[in-house]
Amino acid sequence: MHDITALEATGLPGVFVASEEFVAAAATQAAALGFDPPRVFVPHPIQDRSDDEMRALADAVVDDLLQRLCAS
Amino acid sequence: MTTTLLDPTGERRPVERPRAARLPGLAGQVIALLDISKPRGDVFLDRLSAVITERGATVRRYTKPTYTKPAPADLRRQIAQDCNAVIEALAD
Repeated sequence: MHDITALEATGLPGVFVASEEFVAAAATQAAALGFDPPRVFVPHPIQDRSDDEMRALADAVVDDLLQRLCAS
Repeated sequence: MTTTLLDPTGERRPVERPRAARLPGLAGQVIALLDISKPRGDVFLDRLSAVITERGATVRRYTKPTYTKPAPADLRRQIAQDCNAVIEALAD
């Protein structure tokens, strides 16, 4: 979140992706930073997923990610 | 004995920072994909790269040396200089 916050401060639109385990922590951190970055969450866990499962996760969220980067 | 700790960095309420303007569209844009270096994130970003490229944007890949701290300033500077937007992944 710190990276997206810093990059957004330069004028670069950003979004980060995290597993669902980070939902509460992201909200807390956003409040502490005074910045509410766009974020998308994917199902947890991640590290034991197959390549096909990882690609499926990406396919499931890519539209959401791009919508958060674009005005329309 | 009571000890009082004063935090000069403490804020009761942080300054609210607005988001940067969003892109007008995806076509022709340069999108940074920033890998935080956690396992499996590269596979996720590989797929995002393919889809985003199919949709008419250019993708540039970047990798943090570690997910345990913010990206180095030089890396952030390069991304801000070279790209129009950034997607950072994948924290778990």
